[in-house]
Amino acid sequence: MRIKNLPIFLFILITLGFAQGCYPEGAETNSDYDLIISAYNPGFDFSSASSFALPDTLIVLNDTTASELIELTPDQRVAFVAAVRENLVSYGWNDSTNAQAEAETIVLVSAIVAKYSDNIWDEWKWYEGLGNLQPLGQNSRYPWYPNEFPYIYDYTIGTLLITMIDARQLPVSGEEPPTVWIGSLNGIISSKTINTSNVVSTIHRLFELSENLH
Amino acid sequence: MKKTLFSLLITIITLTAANAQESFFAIYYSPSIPVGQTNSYIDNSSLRGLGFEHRHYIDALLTVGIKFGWQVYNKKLPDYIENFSSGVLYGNQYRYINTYPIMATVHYHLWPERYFRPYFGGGIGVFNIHRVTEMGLYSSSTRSWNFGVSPEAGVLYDLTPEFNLLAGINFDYGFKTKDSDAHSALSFKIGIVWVRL
Repeated sequence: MRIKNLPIFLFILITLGFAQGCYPEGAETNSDYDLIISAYNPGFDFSSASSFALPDTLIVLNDTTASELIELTPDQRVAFVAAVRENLVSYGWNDSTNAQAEAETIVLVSAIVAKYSDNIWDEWKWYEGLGNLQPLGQNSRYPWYPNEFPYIYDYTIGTLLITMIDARQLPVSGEEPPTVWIGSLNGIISSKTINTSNVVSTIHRLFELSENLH
Repeated sequence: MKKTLFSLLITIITLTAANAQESFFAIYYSPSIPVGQTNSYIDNSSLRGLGFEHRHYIDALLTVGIKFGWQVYNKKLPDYIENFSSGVLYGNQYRYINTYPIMATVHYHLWPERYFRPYFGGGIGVFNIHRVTEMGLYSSSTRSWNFGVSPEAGVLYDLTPEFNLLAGINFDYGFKTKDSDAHSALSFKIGIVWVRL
């Protein structure tokens, strides 16, 4: 190579080498995006509540416009709900599921398969498994997030969501009920081959991080 | 301040373009080590850096010029806990800083008659700094313009009358602003100089 062309050669070489990525070494696999979110309503006094009602049924919300639908097996649904129950009890909460009227909070577990959209909620009707504790109109959105919570509507494919509602403050008609805490495992069920034990251990981690529930 | 800097840059560009007796253009690779508050955010050294520089000789020893650069810092924090006012996030966190220095420079070159010529000097200008923090699918970013300085020392080595090698070391310091931390890094440069007679 003639030395006259050296700067041009070096310029191209350096530029190409540098341009291999201005955001290097970022997330590369789906699991790199997995995220646990624990968010609570700062206006709620958690010391004022010590019991919960947790329906056995895990709701699966599939957004039909998502690229793939996730199905949980019955065993997985049971395992995930059981893990939530186990953690609440282990942190001192009383399980009042069999006496729902006495429960101070309602805990719901759902699996959400959705694109980046909050419109899915408008299509959905309230879960009917709570008997007398279901005062909501059909147009209510689930879950209901107070505005204080960040990262609310940006859901992706495969989120396991745990919601705690103050059962003592349920609205009479179709208003949004007072959600006091959400635990969200984003991305944890994005694969069709869901690793049950991995999800369960992540639920344990969520509760470890949720000090307001301890 | 911005107007003053802009005027200074324009003056230098005009000087270097209109009165070129001897000048040089340099391109260089520029790895860097973050220090101070930059190091608190990302403590990984950066191997991604690039710079362009033009110097014009006022006399045999003194140059004025301009330089532009780009440096990228990144760090992955696995299983990171990010607390916020009403909760917590847990997962892999990815941090990035893209830094773009734009400087007016003055350099003093020793031993003009020799092949091997040390120099010292520095730049004054701004750092455009883009910080990005990602967790899961969430991302937050800030972009700031930090007034800054960049003292420098280095050497030039004559390969031919037209081409020199350049090696140097800078201390880049962008002052803290109301909305951003100070930026500081030790950056190196190694590159090629194209001399224009």
